[in-house]
Amino acid sequence: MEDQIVRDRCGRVIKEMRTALCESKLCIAAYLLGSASHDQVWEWSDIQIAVILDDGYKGKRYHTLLQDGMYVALNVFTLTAFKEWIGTVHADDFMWKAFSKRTVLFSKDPILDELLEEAFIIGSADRQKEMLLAFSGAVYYLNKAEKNLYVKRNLENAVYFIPQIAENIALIEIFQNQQIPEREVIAQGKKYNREVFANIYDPLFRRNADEETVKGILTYCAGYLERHTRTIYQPVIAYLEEHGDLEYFKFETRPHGFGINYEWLVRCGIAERYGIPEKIPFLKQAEKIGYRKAEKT
Amino acid sequence: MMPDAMRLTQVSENNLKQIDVEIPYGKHTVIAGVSGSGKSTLAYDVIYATAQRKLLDCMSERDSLFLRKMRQPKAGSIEGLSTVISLRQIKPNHNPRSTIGTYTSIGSYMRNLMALLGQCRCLCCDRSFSPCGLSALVKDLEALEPHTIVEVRFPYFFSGQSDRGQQMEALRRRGYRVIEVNGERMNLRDLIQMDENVECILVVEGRFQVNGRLKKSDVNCLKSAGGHGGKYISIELSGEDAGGIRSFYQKHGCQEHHVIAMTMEAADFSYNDVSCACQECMGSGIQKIVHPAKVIRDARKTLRQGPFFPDVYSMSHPYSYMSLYSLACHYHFSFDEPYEQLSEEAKNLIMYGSGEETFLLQRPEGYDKVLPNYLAKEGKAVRFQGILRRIEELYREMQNAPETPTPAQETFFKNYMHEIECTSCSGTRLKKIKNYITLNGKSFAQIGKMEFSELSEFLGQIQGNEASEPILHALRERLALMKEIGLEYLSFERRIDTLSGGEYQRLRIVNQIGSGLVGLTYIIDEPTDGLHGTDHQKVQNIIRRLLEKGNTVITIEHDCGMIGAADHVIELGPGAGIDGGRVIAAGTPKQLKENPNSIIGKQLLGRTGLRTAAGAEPFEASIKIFGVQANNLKNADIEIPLHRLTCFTGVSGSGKSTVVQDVLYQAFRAEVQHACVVPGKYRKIEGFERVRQMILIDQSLPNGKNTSIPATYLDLFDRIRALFSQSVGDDHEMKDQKAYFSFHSKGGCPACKGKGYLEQYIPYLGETKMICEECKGQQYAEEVLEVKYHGRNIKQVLDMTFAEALAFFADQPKIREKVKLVCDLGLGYMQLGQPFSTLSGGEAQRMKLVKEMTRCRHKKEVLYIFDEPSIGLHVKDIDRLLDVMRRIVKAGNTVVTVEHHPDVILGADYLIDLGPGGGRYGGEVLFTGTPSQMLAGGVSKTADYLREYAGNGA
Repeated sequence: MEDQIVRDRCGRVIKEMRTALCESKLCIAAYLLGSASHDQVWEWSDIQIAVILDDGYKGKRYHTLLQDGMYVALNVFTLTAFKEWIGTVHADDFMWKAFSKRTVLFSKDPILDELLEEAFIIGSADRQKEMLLAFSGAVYYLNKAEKNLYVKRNLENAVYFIPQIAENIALIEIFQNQQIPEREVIAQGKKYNREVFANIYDPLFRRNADEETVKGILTYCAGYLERHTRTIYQPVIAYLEEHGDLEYFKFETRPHGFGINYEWLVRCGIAERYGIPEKIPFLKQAEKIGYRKAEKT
Repeated sequence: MMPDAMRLTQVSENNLKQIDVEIPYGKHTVIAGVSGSGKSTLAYDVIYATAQRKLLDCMSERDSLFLRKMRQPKAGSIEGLSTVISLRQIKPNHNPRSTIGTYTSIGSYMRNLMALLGQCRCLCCDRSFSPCGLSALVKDLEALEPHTIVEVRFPYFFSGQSDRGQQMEALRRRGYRVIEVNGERMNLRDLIQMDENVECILVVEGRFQVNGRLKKSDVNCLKSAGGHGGKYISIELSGEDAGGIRSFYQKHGCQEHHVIAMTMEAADFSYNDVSCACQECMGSGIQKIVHPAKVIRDARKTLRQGPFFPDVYSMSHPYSYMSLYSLACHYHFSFDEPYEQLSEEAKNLIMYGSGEETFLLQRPEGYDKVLPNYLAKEGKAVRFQGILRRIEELYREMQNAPETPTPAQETFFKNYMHEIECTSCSGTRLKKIKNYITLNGKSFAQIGKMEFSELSEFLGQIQGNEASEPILHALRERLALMKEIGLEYLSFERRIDTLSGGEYQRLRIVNQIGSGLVGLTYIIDEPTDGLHGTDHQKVQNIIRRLLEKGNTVITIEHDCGMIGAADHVIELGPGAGIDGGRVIAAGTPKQLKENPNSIIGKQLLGRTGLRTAAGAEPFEASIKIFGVQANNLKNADIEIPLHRLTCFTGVSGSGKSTVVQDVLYQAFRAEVQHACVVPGKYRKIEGFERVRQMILIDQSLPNGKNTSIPATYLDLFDRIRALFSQSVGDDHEMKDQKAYFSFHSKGGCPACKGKGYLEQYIPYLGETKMICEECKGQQYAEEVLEVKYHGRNIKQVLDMTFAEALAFFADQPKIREKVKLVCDLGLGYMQLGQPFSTLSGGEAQRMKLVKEMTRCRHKKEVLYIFDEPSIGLHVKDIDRLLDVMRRIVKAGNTVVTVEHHPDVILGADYLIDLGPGGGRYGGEVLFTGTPSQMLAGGVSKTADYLREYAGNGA
């Protein structure tokens, strides 16, 4: 429960910080991030503020302050570094997600505000990549859950993987709706497709999480992914249709993602595996995995 | 009182016989004499080596510790030495980044000049404007009405080699989001469809609002855009004060397209700077690709028979073979027609592939080899990558692999790949944006390609200012020197490794003059080598320039003209090797003429026994080359008679070597031997059917290790070692064990591994050879040296000259035969164990000749090609060389030689004179005929020079 005293103190601290930062000639803008910006605060909430300074600042990038008994975290950027960060940041970056729910404390640079607004509009190329990555994530956890359920007969472990499948499905929903993921993606995803999350979570919460229930959820997830395969894998399938195989297919995705899961296409019967001879110094004979159009498609 | 000369007494190094020598200061001294008389020993092993030792002696105690390991020349006393600089004829290093511009500082001066006087052109129109400084730009932006929005962009040129999508992705990864293509704004986060013809786009670096003083980040934004755009930026202003904005554009850059350039610096034209260098070749100006001619094994074979290298497209490789067959079926060209008869379109498909086009994999009729199941099955859609594309891909994979390529891999790719101009920058090495900065209408790259004579004229038209005047002055001075020394046909962007040894040596002289150092002693080894007779005067002039600066010049020379023009001559002789090493005359050329002992004196008085070939007989057979257009050749038709000694003449750079080596030799290799080589451009060649073999004997050192010696190269050492191993008693462990007498093998000194020296780095002197203290330079283990053959140990035999060996091995006919041939070619003074690294180009060439002559002695219809074989030869030895050449012709062979030496030219059967000048002024056939015909009616520099020479001798 939110404590009125905490809330008042928090408001006071934010006001004081805003005034102090605004007075500084070096300071161009300050943004309130986190719970204090868009949610309710409680006694363990911190106050997170992003401070944009003019170039030339060479001090620490992160400060933790105690202000009126509250924990205040300052993230410091120089303007050029901030612009660069905005240009190169990936959708799964924690700070970026935080900025998606920012509150402007003050800004002396209207261009910076425009830039931030533009940064949260996702382009079609990026959207395609992010959806493929989220899809691969969902497939990864689906495989884990299925193995635990069907092979290892470990129902408990299978259940643990369900929220992770759901998170990646939520990401797909968010990107499909041309939005940027925030910190709590399930809640965000629900806004765009309530049904899918009801089908995943409701059986878990409202019924006993028995084998039949989990099986039903996983079957639903697999079905969801199958239904979205042709849309999300559109660039891959188009290439496969045209060239017959994916040997020379190139699709740049960002680092730290799951990459593109071609095995899913095999599972869906769209592609099949074949071996391509590969020279590996420490192996006599080796073949790298290749994918070509499945016979029956 | 200051001494007036260097004085060397009791010098007994190598074959020198306790001689006393005086070299006057500030004068030009020539050391002359027959080959092997001790000239180089005196100049290099005594004077240069002593100067090096004395220099080291002056340095720190630690450095001078090396002194005791450096051999001291054998001399009584050496007094009055100054610092000595050696300018030998060496081949420059093979580094594509090393150019005449970098070597002579001309490039550096030009970069400074471009930075000072360069005008910038708009990227969209031809309007030119002056660059402006960052501070001026900032000041004018600050003066704009508050709230004016400034958008800063920089131009980005697409590279032709990489995929556009990848290039845009790279921009996106660097944090850029908005681009402008032909005025249309696009977001890099979207899927972009762009016209393939678009070469340049504008990338938005950033936006800011003017509000009085600019923030540091705003200034950084301008700086950063300037850096990425090669100092070019585009500024888009939006605000209410239209008048202020207009006047801003009027002041800076192009008013219409809002292109602005920032002040340049010399480094902005340096291809060694990553931000300026072409991003594809990284400033080397070259790229490696596979040439179609190099993958064709035999163009007469059909695709079914497998006409290609490598073998993967033959029947033994089912997938590649079937892909090739399927390609032929899909595009309807024959699989059973010789490759050479296929259409150009079919050849292109085979070489460069079918691109994105797919077709069904089919099996040729009757071909039953099993297709491995891991590959695409029959009836499956496949693509053909193209032979060249496949090899290039493999090459790139090798380059990007973390492992170092194996020698086998390197050889594989060396066979197929060749260097071409970088297609992205057209060999200019710089980013495309740099072409928009011009000086009197010419870009830096265009200026770099100008010959020095042209560059000199170009600079004459430039209106300098106070800052640029010293640079212009220095440039004019250097270019005048280039002209003076006969190198005006070169350009400053020319790669150093494409220069001949002679050109490089003269370039080094120009550098020395340009350095302005005084009071030095220069030792120059045959500076007229590789120069046309008419250019000898230029060398004399340049030596005078060195003298005028207060230096002393010592040259080793054979040319009578140069000797006659010297201030002082030291003549060594009378013979080579043990017969040489004495000062037979010394003094001014005039004194030598009066000295009855001097052989050179007599030659200076007039050439005796001038030999002009009598043969004006018409030839029966010939090789005809039509339409030669390689390098500077101007569609020349050239006929080379067979069974004759033909000499190509002409000034340096006229195209002689191009015809002989790049066209004649390479065309024979490509057409007759079907070698993977690309000859120089020509239309047609006739007459190869009369030539069985063609052997190029050029000046490069024979292949092998640096430690190779003539005895091993001529296969003599094996026999000599056998003699030693047989000379020991039956119970001796070395009996019949030849390996003990090889310094590379069992018998070598274990400390230096048979080298006789150890290489050590000495500050200021670099890698220096120190005598091995274990073997005292003897190369062999002590027990091996105890074995004697005819009273000499193996080391003493290797130290023998070929002239001595002739008598020593009189009872060994197989050894004697080769040794005699070496002596016949004037190399009797060389030692059997002399390292190849010490051989001059001429010596290496004659050594190769000996090898080839012993190999092909019974063969006929062989065409030998020589490249200035007379280099380093005394007049007396030239007669011997001519005799050997005549012997070759008499045996039914043909000799083609490139030559400057008048004695060789006059001794030839047939002359082909190219010219009239070097570089773009050359490339025409000026004369063909016998030497007598040339003397009688030839109209060229060569003809004039020969007439003068012959007249002098008459």
